[in-house]
Amino acid sequence: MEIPIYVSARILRHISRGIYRTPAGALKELISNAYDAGATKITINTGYPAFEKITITDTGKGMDLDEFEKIIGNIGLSSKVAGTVFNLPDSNVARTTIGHYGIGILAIGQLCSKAKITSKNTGSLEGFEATIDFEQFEIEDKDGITRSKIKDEKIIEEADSKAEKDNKLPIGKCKIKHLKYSDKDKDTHFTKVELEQVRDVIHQKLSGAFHETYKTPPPKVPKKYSANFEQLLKLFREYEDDIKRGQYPYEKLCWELAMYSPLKYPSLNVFDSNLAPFKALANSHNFEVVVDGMKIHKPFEKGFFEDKEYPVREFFVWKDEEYYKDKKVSGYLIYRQRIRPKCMQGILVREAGVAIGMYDLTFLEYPYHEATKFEQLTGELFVEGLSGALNIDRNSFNETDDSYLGLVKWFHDKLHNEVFRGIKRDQTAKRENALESFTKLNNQYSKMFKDGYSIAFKDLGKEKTLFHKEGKVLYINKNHPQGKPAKSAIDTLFLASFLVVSDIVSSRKMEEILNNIAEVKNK
Amino acid sequence: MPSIDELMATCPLKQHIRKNLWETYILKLAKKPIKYLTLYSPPLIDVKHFAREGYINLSDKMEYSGVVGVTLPGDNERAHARAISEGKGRLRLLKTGYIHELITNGDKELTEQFPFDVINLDYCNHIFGDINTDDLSDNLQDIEQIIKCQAKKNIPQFVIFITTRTDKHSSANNTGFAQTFIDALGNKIQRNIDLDAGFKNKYHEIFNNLTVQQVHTQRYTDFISVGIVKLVLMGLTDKGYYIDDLDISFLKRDDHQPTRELLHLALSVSRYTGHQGQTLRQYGRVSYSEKGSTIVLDKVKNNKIVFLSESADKTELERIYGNYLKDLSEDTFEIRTPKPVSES
Repeated sequence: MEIPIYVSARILRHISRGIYRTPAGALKELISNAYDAGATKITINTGYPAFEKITITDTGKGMDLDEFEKIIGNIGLSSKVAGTVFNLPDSNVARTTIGHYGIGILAIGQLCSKAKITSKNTGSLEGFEATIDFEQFEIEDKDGITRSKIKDEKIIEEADSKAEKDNKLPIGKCKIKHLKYSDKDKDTHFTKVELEQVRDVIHQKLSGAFHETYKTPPPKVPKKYSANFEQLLKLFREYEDDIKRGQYPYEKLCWELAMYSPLKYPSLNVFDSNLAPFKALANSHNFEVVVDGMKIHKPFEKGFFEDKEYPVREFFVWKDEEYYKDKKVSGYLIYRQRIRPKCMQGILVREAGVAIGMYDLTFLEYPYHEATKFEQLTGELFVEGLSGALNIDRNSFNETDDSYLGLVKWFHDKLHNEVFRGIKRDQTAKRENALESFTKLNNQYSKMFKDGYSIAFKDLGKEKTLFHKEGKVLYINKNHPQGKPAKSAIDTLFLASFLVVSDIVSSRKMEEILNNIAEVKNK
Repeated sequence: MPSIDELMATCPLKQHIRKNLWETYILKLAKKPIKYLTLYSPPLIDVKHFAREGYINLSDKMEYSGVVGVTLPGDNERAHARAISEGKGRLRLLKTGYIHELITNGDKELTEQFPFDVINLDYCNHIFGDINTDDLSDNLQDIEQIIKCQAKKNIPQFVIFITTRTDKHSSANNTGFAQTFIDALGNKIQRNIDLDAGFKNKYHEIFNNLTVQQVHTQRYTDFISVGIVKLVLMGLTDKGYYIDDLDISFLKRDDHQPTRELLHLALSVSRYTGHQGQTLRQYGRVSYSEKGSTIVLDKVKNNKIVFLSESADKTELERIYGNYLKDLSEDTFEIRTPKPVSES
C-alpha cells in the first residue's frame, strides 16, 4: 500500500511570509532576477532616509503578461535552470543564471504589503502593470510581540482540505492593467517593481528604529555625508563596531548589496597583477547596480590591498580546480597582518558571481585551531555547480549536500596543505632572516663589547627573564614577549643588549624599559 | 498638491531666469565646472540644468562634484529622500538647516566646502524682513555668513543669485515686508543720498525730486531693487568685495492665489584689491564700493529690469521650455521607462 505525502499549507504560509534574513537578502533576490533577465543595469531607489517606497528598475528582457501570470500563478515553479549559460543580447558577454526557484515575488511580499510591477519586453508594443496586494499577510502586535499573521485562517484550512486537488496556497491578489506603448518605444524592455507600502518592520529595520524596542541608543546619522560609494565604504570601516550594534543601518544595507551582487571590482592595482583572473571573472558580468544615485561596486576600498602599514604578505590563488565530480572552483586568499573592515575577514563563497551569505570566519568550519591567522585572511571562492546545495533563501548551504561537502573538503585541504603551511614557512623564514641580521650586527660590533662578551638568542622558557648572562654570553630569551627575534624588533633588541653588555643599563632595568615600550605601543 | 518650491522649479518663467539671468552670470566666470552652493528644493532642476549645460560635473561615480545643497529645516527625512530621488546622482554634500546657523555652529562639513564660484540663494517662498518675525531674517543672516566664509577663503570673484518675495506690506492681511524693514531700506537709501554726491545726482536724475518715501509708494519695485542691492552691498563691502555687475528680474506668479512677486538678483562680485582710500587716479570716479548702487540706478533709468508674469508670458515660455523641463524633471538616476500611450 502506498500513502501519499503532503505538505501542509501552514508550511507554505510560513515560507511565504518571509524567508530572507535581512532586507538586503530580499533585495538580493530581485537583483538576481534582473541579472538572470540579462539586465545590464538595475537602479534601486530605497527612498532613504524615509523608506516610504522602494523602487527597483532593471533593463532586463522584461516579461509579457502570459509569462508573468505563470510566475505568480506558480510561485516556486520557475522554468529557470540555475547555472545555465546565456549570452547578453547583442554581445558576446556570457552570463550564468543565478536563480531557479522563481520566488522573487516572495521577496516582494516580505518587503511590502502592496506592490506594482510594470514590465515590457523588447519588440512588443504591449506591456502590463500588475498591482499586487499581499494584505492577507499582516504584521500584528499581540501581547507586545510583533508577528506576521494571515488575516483569514480559513484560507489555510481550505487549502489544506483541498490539498489533493490543488496544492497551491493563495497569498495575495493581483490586478492587471494592459498597457500600450508607442512605436518609438518598441525596442525598450524593462521591469519596474514599486514596493508601495513598505512593511513597518522593514522600515524599522532600515531606519534603525529598533532601538526603542531594545532600549539602545538611536541610530546615528553619518558624520560624513556619503556622496559616493568610496565615502560610504570608509564610513563602514570606521564605524564598523557601531554598525554591529545596529547603528548606520542604511550604510549596512548598501554594503551588503555591494557584497552580494555580481558587480565589478573597483580599480585596485592588485587586480592587475596577482588577481587578474578574478577581475576578468567578475568584470565580465557587465552589470551595474545603482543604489539611491550611488554606483556601487564590490565593497573593496581603494587601498584595501595596497596598505603600506599592513602589506599583503601572501597570495594564494587557485584557478579552475575540480572540487567535486567535474565541478570547478577558482578563488584566492590573502594573508596580511590586519584586515578591515573586520566583516571581510574570512572566506566568501560566490555562485555565479553572487555571494552566498557573508564572509565566513570559520572557513567553512575548518576543524583546526589556527589562532589569529583566521582573522588575517580574506578571500573569495567562485564556485560552479553549487546551486543545488543552496537553501531556499540562497544565503546559506545545505551542509549535507554532496557538492558542498566536496567543496569543503577541497578548501580545507588547501587551507591545511597550502595556506597555513605557507604562512608558517613565511613566518619561519622571516624569523631566520631576522636572526641572520642579528648575527651580522653581533659580528660587526663584537669588538666593542665589554670583556669579550657576545650576544645570542636562546629558548629559556616563558617564566624566565628577558636577559640571562652565562659565561661570556648574554642570552636573549626567545620565549619572552619582548625577546622574539622578529624583524621589526631586531634593532631595538640589539641596542638594548649592547647597553646591557656594556653595563650601562642593568638587565633588569632594560627589561622593564622594553616592557614599558611594548605597553605604550599596544595602547 | 505640489509645493510652491516644486511649482517654481518646473515653471517655464523660472527656466527663463535660469537661462537668461543666471547662466549669463555664470558665463562671466569663464570657469567649468563650477563649485556651486544651492538651496536644495525639489526637484533639483537648477543642478540638473547646469549639469546639462556643462557647468556642473556629474562624475562617473554619479556625484555632482562640487555641489553643496542646503535644505531648510522641516520634514528632513522626506526632503533628503527627494534630494536623492530627483537627481541623476548625489550632491557632494547635503545639509539641513539654515546656512547661517550651520556656519555659526561650526559645521565643518559645510565650511570646508567654501569658497564657491556660484551661490544660489533662491528663497522663492520667503521674504526678507517678514512682517511676522521680529528677528533679523534668517535669509539675510545666511547671506552675511556666506560672504564671511567666502572672504575667509579669499576668493577673488564669485557670483551670487538672490531671490526673495517682494509682497507689499499689508498690516491688514499681515503679509509682506515688515514696516520696520521697509523703513530700514528707506533709511539706507536716504543715507546714501546724503553722503554720496554721485548717488544723489543719479537718484534725482531718475526719480526727479521724489522723496525716498514717495519712491516707495509710487515706484515700489524700483525702491525694493535699489534697497535690497544696497543691503547686500553693505555685507559685501564690509568684507572687501564690490559688485562689478548686476541684473534684476521680477517674476509675477499670478496664476495662483495669493499672487506673489519675486525679485531675482544676479550679482557678479569681485574682491577689491586696490588702495582702500581715494587715490588721485580714482578722484572724481565712482568708488568701488558704490559701483553696485550706480549699476542698479542705471538699470532703473534704462528700463533694464526684466518683468515676467505668468498671465503674460507663461504660454510662450511653456512652448519654449515645457518639454525640456519635463525631460529634466524625469531625468533621475533611475532607469527611465517609457510612458504607455493607453491602458485598459
